[in-house]
Amino acid sequence: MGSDGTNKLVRMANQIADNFDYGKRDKAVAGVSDHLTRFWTPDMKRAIVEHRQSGKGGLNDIADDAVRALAETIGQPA
Amino acid sequence: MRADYKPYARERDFGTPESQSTEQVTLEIDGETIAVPKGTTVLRAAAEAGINIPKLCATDSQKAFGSCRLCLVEIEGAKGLPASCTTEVREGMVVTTETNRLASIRRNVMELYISDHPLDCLTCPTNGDCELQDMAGSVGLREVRYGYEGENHLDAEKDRSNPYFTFDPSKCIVCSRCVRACEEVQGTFALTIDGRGFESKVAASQDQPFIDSECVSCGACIQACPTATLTENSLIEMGQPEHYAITTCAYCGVGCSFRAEMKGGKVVKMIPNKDGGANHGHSCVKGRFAFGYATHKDRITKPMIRESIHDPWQEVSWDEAFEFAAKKLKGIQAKYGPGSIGGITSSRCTNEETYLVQKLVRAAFGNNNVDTCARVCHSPTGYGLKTTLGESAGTQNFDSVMKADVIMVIGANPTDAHPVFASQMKRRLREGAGLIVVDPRAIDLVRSPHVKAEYHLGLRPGTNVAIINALAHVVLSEGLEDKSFIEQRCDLEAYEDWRNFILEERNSPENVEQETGVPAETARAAARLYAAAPNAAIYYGLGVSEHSQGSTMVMGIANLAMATGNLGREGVGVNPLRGQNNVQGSCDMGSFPHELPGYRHVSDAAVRKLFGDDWGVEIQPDPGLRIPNMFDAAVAGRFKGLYVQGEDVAQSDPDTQHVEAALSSLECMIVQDLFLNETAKFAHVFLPGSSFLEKNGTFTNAERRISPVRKVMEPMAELEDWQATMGLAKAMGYDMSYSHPSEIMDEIARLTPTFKGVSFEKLDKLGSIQWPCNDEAEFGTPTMHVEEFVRGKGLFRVTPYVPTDERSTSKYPLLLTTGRILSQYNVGAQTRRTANLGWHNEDVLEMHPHDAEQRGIEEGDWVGLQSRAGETVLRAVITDRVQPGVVYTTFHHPESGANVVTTDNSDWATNCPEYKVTAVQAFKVSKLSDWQRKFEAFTDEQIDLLERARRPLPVS
Repeated sequence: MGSDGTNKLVRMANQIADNFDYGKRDKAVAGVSDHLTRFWTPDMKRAIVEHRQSGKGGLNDIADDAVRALAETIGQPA
Repeated sequence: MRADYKPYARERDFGTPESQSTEQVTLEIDGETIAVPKGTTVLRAAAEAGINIPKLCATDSQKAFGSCRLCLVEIEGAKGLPASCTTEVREGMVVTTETNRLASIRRNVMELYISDHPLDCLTCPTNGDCELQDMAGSVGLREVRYGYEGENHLDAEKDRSNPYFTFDPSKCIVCSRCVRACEEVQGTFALTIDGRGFESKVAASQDQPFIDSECVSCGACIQACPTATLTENSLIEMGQPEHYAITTCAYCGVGCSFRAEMKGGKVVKMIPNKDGGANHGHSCVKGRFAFGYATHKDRITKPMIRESIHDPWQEVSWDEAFEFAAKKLKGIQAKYGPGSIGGITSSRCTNEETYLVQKLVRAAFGNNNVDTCARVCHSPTGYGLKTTLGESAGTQNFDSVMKADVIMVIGANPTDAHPVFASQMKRRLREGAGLIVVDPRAIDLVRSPHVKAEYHLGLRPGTNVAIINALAHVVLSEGLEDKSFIEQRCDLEAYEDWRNFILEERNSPENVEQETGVPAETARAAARLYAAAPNAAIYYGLGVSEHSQGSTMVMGIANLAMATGNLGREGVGVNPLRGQNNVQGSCDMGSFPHELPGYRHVSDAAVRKLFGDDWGVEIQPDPGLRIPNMFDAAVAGRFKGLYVQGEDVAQSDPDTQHVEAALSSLECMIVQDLFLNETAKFAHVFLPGSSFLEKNGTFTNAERRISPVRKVMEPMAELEDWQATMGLAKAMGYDMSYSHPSEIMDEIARLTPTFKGVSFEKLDKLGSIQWPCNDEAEFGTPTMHVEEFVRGKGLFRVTPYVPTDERSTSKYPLLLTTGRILSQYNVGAQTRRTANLGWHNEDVLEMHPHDAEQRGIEEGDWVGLQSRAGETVLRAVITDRVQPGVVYTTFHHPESGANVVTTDNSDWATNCPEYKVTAVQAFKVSKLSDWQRKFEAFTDEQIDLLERARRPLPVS
């Protein structure tokens, strides 16, 4: 995925995180990672996980934790 | 004659509306004992018993009027001769409908009518289908003793200003049926009786030509006219129809039932079906008149192929087109992987066709890359209602509105986009229901004849969630919630979380006033009105869903309805007004990349096995690409093949330049459509589509009503759309062998619990069915969530307001919002090819006088409209319908490029585009934008390449 495409994914993940950002943090993180699991294609999931691993940043706190959780569910190193 | 064709006959007219009473009254008419509901008129009671009392001013779509004096009867013990249309039945009443005295009076009445009526019956358009003619025959009129020389109206001039009908006042008997139809049925009040006595005549608005009046061309007056005074031009040209079939309109999500009245393979008239569950005999200008696109010269009727989008098209056989397409798609998959192709199903096609396209993608393409245009309109409805209530659909039928005490309309413009339902809603409003409108624009409902919103919450675009939270804040902080409903029906832990959140001070109307622009007192008053109503119903449209928080807003609406106990019975509910005719159906049929038919997630192994076993394939467990993801993947070079059935993504989807880049990068694009639409200009394979008149199937409307679509003419391109999909599947190596769409529906019913009881046979019997239809609800389900929610306990979801990134800035200080108008439909592919073009031949930019003045812009000036995505040029209309700081346009014409300006911002949960908020700048210009000039050149090139396919090759 090109950097433009990945930037868009980061924006989308942050937006999802903003909308789950209420109450207990664990719940918000779980909500975001569940959302990514249920609605994103395997390619998109892989791309966002790789983006996080590469340390390029850009994800907000909740999105960052959610992508880490996502990495575990799709069997990739967090 | 085919079994589903019926010989033409005028619809039976019972004279006055049906009484809703459950109490029965028994009376005697002409010696027959008859039992009818209390409140029934004598005229109707007689008609129900098969006794047709002569009548002219009475019709069963309107309240009795009692002016023509033809329906007089004798009633034992009653003085004089009462009009049967205005006399209600009484227990033990004894009525006589035919006596010498009555016959003589009726003949005299007819004699007077005919003394001022042209005697050109043989050449009259309604010859053979005229109530006046029938009554003259019925009463035995043999002479007119007054002669025809006296003062009369025979030379009154015809009004031919409307493209669809002619007004011939010389034939008018001043029965007021047209005037009353405009009032009672349509609710527009455009017609009146002008003058008194002999001078009385029907007039449109201030005695203007129809086309310049307030008339909305719904056709109700023509329907009501008992003479040839108001007549369809198609009838004048073609003569009386010969047979008809019941079918369903292919325009908006109201899904009106129509009689397609035919002569051979030609439609003479589309007449709204009185038994239609969604429309009860009413129609709008689109469904009633704008069907000419189906036989427009622009229709493409032969399959075509080409290697590159800059090559001329080449007409080929269907098989050649399938082989060409399949070879390309297989080649792409071999080179770029199985996920490099996908399909888009159509919300304008039938359920059966949509089902087949998603089946083709899942079974023959071997992936879940299927999506539908609901992505760009109501996907947040699916997500939001599934999450909170458990089912991705509206909760009521349309008739439910007649029991609502307060109606809240949020981000919808029903009089323009869902006109037939709007007429029903206005009827309820005239009966006294309260109205709250939440919309940045002062839509017609805010103030129109005999309708006035109690409160108009004219919020700033993008602040929906702030407002819905504020309304909920008022309900909870003032103790207006329905505690017992919440306790019995909802998940209490989730409710507590939501309650704590809503009660936070940040959600109070006072706190959000600055952000939303809605005065706190107005928000408070609206919330109190909604919460206090015995029955309060919410209707919403794309002004809710097409936002960065579209899904949040849908959940916010569901939260508010649950908190006030406004779910699970008639008169209440959460009602999405669906855009296209089959948006609900296309979603039901598994068009989303994460869901199989019936909204079941692809990750569910049992569901995958169910479909996989039936289809003989293995279904992929991961969600596929959504439409915007497809475009992104295409631009990135990973998505190369796309099959689009009956959608025009190049015009309808946001950020046109990005869409164009994506479409240009495809190696194989297959477009199936009636016309060479904007998307087809980027295609390599064109499969000619069939219109709704050319195929069998079903549509599902906004109230989950499945209605039959019936073939009344042969498909122009020989194949119906489902047959073309089968051909493509076969060429891809996956055999589908249906001989009729009913077999596809049988398969859907077999595999989908909510459709278990649906069949074409049952639809023929019942007319239409609202799903769920299964063992528990054999005849369908008008109201959902009655005893409990589909998900069990209703789930309150916390809905924090997250402002959109599209904020006005110094560079882009205005907010653009988009919408629709009455005469045009969606991308306009259909309506632009009808006389509806006369009402709206270009998209314009509405701008507040204050903003216009600041920029030196005057009415009619060219205005450059620029956002971070692109720039286009539109003509200015200066109006205070829009607030200062907000501009508005429509997207019915491709060259206006509204979507060149809209951005890739989208709903967080579903990627539904934020069409309703784009930060823009506007300035006066003197020429079209760069994009528009490129668009013109590209269109010219593509039209030429099309014409070259149709031109014989030059002899060398």
